[in-house]
Amino acid sequence: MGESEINDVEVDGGMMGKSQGLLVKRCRFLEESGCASVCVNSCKVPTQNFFMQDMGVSRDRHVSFAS
Amino acid sequence: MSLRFTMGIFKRSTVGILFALISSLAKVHGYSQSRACARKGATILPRLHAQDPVSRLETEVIKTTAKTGSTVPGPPVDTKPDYANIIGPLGKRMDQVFLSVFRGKLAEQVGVDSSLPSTDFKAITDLAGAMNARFTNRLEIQRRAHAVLRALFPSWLPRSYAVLFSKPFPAVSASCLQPITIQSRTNQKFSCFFNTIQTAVFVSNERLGDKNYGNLAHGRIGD
Repeated sequence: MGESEINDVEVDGGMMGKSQGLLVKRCRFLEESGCASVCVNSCKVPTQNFFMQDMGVSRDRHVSFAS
Repeated sequence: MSLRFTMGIFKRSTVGILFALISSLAKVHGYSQSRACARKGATILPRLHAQDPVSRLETEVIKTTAKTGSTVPGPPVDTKPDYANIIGPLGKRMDQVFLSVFRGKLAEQVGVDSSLPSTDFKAITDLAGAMNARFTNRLEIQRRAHAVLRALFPSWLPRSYAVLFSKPFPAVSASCLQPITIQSRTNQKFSCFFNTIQTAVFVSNERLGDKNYGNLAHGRIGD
């Protein structure tokens, strides 16, 4: 993946989670596949499910598809 | 004659009821997306139960796209980094090993493998595209991709993390994942698996529209 940085994000209950977010500015997989459906169904949702169901970490991934 | 007519009505109504039952079951299990629709790359509206989170997600994408027409501006395409020359902290050799292992697990789930060399990242995107083309039910695609992730780790490892860290120390466990990501960020898709909370990705409009396996639309995706 490309450039990324750790950031603070709002977590459950409206509190700020310090250093609990990660902003990935560019993603090679999305950029080279060029398909939002592949991104959502092959990466975003399965990864969220893996974190939640297998590792017990409730994480959401927000993706911005931009021109 | 009257009996035969009555039996005919009974048979028709029975067939009608069965058809309605099968249709409703298919909708519940997400089989309402036709292969033709997926091949044409049409926007597929959610047909699942209203409470299904994936359906709500896709509905949100469609609504947002319709409302705004576009999303946040991204960097120009010509600033795309040369991913092939981004080497992970463990070295290029380990990057290739990770890529090869991941590709093998993905190929198992897709049922076919790419003819490209094992070190070529394009094989990953090709296999992901093939999986989306082969299985038109998105829940099946998600289940298989989830299985790939599970197969990358020993079965006891994720469960142990949940018991030892996630449940007793949720904030600490969440924070631990970010440095791992930064340290392990490489040119492999592996690193993307540790993305959490917020991911901003930029692709060109032209490329979003040129695939033929069911792209959704370009828009912001949220909960």
